[in-house]
Amino acid sequence: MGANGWTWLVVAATFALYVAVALWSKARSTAEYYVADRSISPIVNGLATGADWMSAASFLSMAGLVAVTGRDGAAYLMGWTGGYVLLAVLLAPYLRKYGKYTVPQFVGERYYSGGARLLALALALLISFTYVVAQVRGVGVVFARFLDVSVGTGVLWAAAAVLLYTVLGGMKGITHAQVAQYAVIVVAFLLPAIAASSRLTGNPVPPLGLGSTLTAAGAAELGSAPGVHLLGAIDRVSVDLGFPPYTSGWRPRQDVLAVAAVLMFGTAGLPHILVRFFTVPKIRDARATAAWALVFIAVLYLTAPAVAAFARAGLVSTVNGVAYDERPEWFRRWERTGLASFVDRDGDGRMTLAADPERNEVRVDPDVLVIAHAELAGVAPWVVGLVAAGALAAGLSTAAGLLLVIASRTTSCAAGSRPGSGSAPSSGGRAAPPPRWRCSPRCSRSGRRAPSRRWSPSRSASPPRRSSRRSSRGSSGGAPRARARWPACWPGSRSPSATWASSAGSTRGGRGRGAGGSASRPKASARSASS
Amino acid sequence: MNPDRQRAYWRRNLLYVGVLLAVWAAVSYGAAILFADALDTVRLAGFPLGFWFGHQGAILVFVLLVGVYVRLMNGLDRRFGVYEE
Repeated sequence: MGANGWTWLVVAATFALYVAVALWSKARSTAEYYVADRSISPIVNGLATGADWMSAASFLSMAGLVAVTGRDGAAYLMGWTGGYVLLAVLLAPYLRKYGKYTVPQFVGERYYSGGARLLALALALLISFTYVVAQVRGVGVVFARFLDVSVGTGVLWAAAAVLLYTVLGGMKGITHAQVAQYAVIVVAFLLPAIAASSRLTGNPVPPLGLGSTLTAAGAAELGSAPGVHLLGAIDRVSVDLGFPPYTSGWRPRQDVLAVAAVLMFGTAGLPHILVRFFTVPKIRDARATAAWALVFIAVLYLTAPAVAAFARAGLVSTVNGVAYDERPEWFRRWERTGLASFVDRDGDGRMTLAADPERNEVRVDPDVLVIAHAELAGVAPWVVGLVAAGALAAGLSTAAGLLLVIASRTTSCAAGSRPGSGSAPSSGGRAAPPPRWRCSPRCSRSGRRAPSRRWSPSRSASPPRRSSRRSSRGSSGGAPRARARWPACWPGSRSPSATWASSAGSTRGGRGRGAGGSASRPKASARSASS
Repeated sequence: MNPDRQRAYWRRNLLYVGVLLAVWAAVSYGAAILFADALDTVRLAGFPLGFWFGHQGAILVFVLLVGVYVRLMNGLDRRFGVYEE
């Protein structure tokens, strides 16, 4: 079977796996639709968040970018992980505490402003659309390569695939299927890296291999003496071609700093990741989920710089100075997609890599390097297929998450319907029932409650959420009082304080049931809203 | 919880966040970017140190920071009696 046959087989097998896992976990959880949520540990949730997070950009483009930019590529590596620290420390627990479904809702409530909510909504849409474009392009690169079509055609196929995947994808919301996706993504990324690391340095752990010395085979490949450090050899090869050394930065410091900062702050606000933290049972779980997710993300992000170095080494050793007629198979294939090309400037029929654009004859798009690296690492064809499957999992899952965010945003508060009813299913399997909370303008303008100006750990932080269900049914003694204070915000039969509490309560799948003991403190309910 | 306790909790929370983010900034913006050239003169195994911070060290520190944050906040919640069971 050829490489393409294997690719289709592995892609089909992994998708069958996701569907199987999704069906299995669905069957298990329908019985106790709400309560099953509780059983999802922060570790599992962190794995699913990791899968959501790792996009086609992380999988395909990042290592390629780092391979091209050398030390300055650290801006991408740190930008996407460093932003996660901001998310975990500054955003996730507070968003969870506030108990809203979406960021626009949160902003609108917190700052008493419908305008601010609309602005947040517009930004969330803008971010999601921009990010979807990147995913579609990534999936398109994979399709172009394995359908042997130009990248433009590949992107059209990718758009169709993303649409199909999202429409079919209640699957997207199933946490366990995302855990399977995480496994595919990481195994697909690690296997070729381990192969390359073992071959070049003899150390099978890629991040350690990056700092190790070359084996005899690796030295022969890079044209240096055995026992030289891998990075030293790559530095020398780079300088020989007229590039700056790989391990030294060449962009201005402020540029790298700006790119890193922008990526960090942008990363912290990714809408499809933020929604995940609205739905965990406890604030403590929001923190733990964020921590575990970063651990799982770091597995890929620590391997990426090693892949970058291996890919750069492989690119130079298999292309530079090689006769065009004997060009490697991976180069032939990528040529057909238009993502790799050769122009014989000096007419010697050999491919010359050079920093000088006048002399350079080879153009390879950085996006192809991760897949090309797998091919030139000499791994089995099914591993190359797995890499394609991993890239598709990364791109499709992220795109689906984003499209669901877009859909839920445009159909929720902005349209005046119930908020959260659309976004909740997108947030990773702990699908919340549609909240009875209303997003009425009356409520947000005149009947606003005082949101917490500060993070207060009042004891009422959890009991009132539980009490909410009761007070919402008017069975709580505190409800009438609260109703008197916020009449405008009270479309139905419950108090605004219960509004906060119950929206938080229903986020967690209505597990407020049976918490009657704590519901005996109605005052705490009102207090929690203003504390 | 009375207002004083709330304030104490909040101050402690801010302190944790401030210290953690200071480390975050020092490692990512400092060690990996601004002072990378100076650190590159030092070698760690096969890595120039500034390069290592950018490509591996910062990410390891980030994981550590978030882990420490979880531990600190859980401890704080327990101390103030607001730990969620």
